[in-house]
Amino acid sequence: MTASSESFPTSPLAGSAAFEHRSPLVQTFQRLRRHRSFQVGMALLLLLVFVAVFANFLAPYDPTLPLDNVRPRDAPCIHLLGCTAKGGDHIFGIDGNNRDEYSRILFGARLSLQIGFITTGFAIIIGSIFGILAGYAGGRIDTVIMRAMDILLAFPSLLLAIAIVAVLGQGLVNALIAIAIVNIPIYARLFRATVLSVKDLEYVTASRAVGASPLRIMWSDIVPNAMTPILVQGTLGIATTILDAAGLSFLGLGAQPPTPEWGVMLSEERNSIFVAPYLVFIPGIAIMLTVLSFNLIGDALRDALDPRLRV
Amino acid sequence: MIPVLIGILFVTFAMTRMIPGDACAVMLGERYTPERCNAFRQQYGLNDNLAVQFGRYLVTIGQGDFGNSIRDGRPVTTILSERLPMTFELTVGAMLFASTFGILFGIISALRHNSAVDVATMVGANVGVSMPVFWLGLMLAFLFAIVLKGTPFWLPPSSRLTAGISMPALDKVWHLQDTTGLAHFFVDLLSNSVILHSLIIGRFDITWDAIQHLILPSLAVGTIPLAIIARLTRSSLLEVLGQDYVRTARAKGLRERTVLMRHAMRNALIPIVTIVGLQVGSLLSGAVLTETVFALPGIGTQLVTSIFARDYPVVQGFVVVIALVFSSVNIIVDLSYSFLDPRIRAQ
Repeated sequence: MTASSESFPTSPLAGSAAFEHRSPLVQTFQRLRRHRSFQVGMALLLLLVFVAVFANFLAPYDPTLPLDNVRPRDAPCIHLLGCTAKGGDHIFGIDGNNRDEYSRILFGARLSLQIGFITTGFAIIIGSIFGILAGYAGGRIDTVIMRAMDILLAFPSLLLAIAIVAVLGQGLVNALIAIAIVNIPIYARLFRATVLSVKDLEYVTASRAVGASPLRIMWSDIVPNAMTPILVQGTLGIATTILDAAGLSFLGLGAQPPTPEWGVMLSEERNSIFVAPYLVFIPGIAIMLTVLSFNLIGDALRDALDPRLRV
Repeated sequence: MIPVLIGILFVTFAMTRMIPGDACAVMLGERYTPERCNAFRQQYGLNDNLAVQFGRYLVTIGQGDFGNSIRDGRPVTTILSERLPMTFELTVGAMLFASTFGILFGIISALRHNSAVDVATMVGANVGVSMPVFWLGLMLAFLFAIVLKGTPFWLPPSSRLTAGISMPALDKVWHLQDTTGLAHFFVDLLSNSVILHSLIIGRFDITWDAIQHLILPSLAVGTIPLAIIARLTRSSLLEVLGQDYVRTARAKGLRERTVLMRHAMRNALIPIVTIVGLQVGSLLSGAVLTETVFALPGIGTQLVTSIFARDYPVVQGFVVVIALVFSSVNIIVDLSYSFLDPRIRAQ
């Protein structure tokens, strides 16, 4: 055993010599692979990504067009399981507008993942600009930017999103802009904290001494340091974003019918819960599993990337 | 607090000034005519410069005047007094549910670390935070109103009170119809809070009916905060239980209950109080979504109706009040630290 491993407590994985000699990235990935939350979350997410990518091939019907020879809210029909009705299989039944619920659920996966990634990505990019500028410039610029962020945080997030939609008008794009704006302060704070923690370290000073421009310093020396917390927060943020977007659509402020969005589907069929409960069960479960997958992965990433948890 | 307060008011002021297109045409909608638009601009001072308009807005809000609804001409404060109590009751009900069971499950999980109960609680917490609150509301309505129909566990799936029940307004009971201003606003608030109102006039049957109608929405709104509180209580308590002073307390021979409640929990409480306070935002957001599911006459249903009707003074007034309540709770949470931890008080 080496002197260093005698003086510090080691993780259970650190016992093997091979593990110790691997790069931090490989070690993190190995830690992740053994994490139960990561395994379950990743399995769910891969399934969702598969469904989203191949929705065109997997969905038996168009998600927005009404079908002939079916009645509104027909129960699920799978011929293999003894359904005797004429026509094709309708695994999740027919919705109130004669559309195949299964096809709509599959296309909903595509939309939900797009919503999660695009909105969170937008919030991270804008948040990073504000955060890095505030942290790097300091002084008045810092005060003005961070006070503005504090004010945005003074509103409950969904209610601020509702207020922004009230101004911009209903619709999916406006709802996503609203949710992205609401999330900007979270990422701005994270980036600012990272900038403040590294901007006076020797290697940043060294970069500055050899004549690196502020932009280069930010991109090469500061942004990589923020990646770990952003990765964790971003993954958990996607989960919240999907929930908020579904909420806005449920209220009629986000995606509009006949878009196959899970929140819209729930909203359209909420009054039929007593006659066709499957039309309410299934979109809700789809939202829950999607959000759960990102929450599980986010939790696992936090555990794997937090150095305090390794000792 | 003051800069944030002014910031909140600035954001809500800017909101209505940022409406794309002619604000007057948008607000008047189908009622738009050039003459009406001119009168509208005069009435609301929209021809003045923005700084003057913002100054006037601050003064009128400071006087408790949130303007009138464009849709029905009633003062926004009257609409607030009708709607706030419902959301307040729902938020309090959900908070009680979430914090009681969240802390309880968290303590059980920490004490039975890695047991089946712990794993089940944590899996449940993960699923709980991933559920859309409006969907959970629908599921609860289905379970308690349909599946459990005919059993003693049946609960009403919608509305605030059973149809046909009504109570006399408190200003009539107390002969205060002539009061105005803040006093009238508070009497209205009390009148519209079904639980408090029925308790005041001694109609406990109505209180019970109101509580029954509040259970399902409270469970729906409280579930996500419950899951978050349970997770944090568990991790906070686990950290504290590993400290030397807890071992010392046990070594002195103190009962486990005393060790837990007096030594461990007291120290674990600060992050728990913080998270409970922070959940108020989540509860208010949840209330907005859940009121729609359960057809409850709170701020959420009114907010959505007003957005569709482009009734901006109402939207503006409601957003200001919600942000103020949210910020105030955050300040109370900050202040409560010193009460909980003498070390912070000493600083």
